[in-house]
Amino acid sequence: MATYTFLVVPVTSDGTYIVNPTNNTVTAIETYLNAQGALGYAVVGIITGRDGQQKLILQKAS
Amino acid sequence: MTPFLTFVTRCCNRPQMLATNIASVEMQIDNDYNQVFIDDPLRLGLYAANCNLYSNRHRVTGKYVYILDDDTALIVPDFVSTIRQLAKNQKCDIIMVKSYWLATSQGRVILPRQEFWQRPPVKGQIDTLNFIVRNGVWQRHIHEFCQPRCGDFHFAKALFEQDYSICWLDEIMAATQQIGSLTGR
Repeated sequence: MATYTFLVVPVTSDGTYIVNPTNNTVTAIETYLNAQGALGYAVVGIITGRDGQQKLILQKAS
Repeated sequence: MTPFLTFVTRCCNRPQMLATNIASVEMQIDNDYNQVFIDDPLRLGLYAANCNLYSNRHRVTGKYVYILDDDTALIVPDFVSTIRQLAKNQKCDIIMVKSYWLATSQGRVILPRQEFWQRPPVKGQIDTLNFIVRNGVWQRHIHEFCQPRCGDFHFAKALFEQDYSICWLDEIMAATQQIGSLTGR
């Protein structure tokens, strides 16, 4: 059985910072993923909401 | 034209919750879906509702299928667009997501709980809101849902016993609208 793991994270318009939706603070992506124990994720998709907020879809390296 | 996703909504005389359900679907940014309603005006019960998925399977035409009953709702407007991105990039037969469940004793809980995430399904710890399934796979196994109780578990268990590829999306996408009992499911 093949399995794949994904995360969705809101990012700034240039795609370099993670946005905390609770307080709108930003964190560098590498710092965020490191804190999540999730370094090694790759971007596999970008979605944009009606409000222009972008989110990255990240896939964990298998 | 075949829609990307079919929402299957079983209905049972709950118009206010159904209105919330439909509103949550209509707020989607990506409109490449249809919604199929399976009504049970006579309140024939859970067994009949579970078997109605099989008997109405010919109405389910989307490339992927998500069961979103009338007492549930999506909580994000980018559900369809996110699932489409995963489906485009991966050969996902099954996409697992998280949901909120309103439990009698514990308030709002996330299903599957963390200890059951990325594990085979456990009875009482999985909900219809936790899986989006490729249509061919859904059609092949939906008869497993026809159970007096826990049809969602039996269906998911059957899927996990096969060699399908599973994509785990760690995101809370939907919620139940009314309180239920985890142990009684």
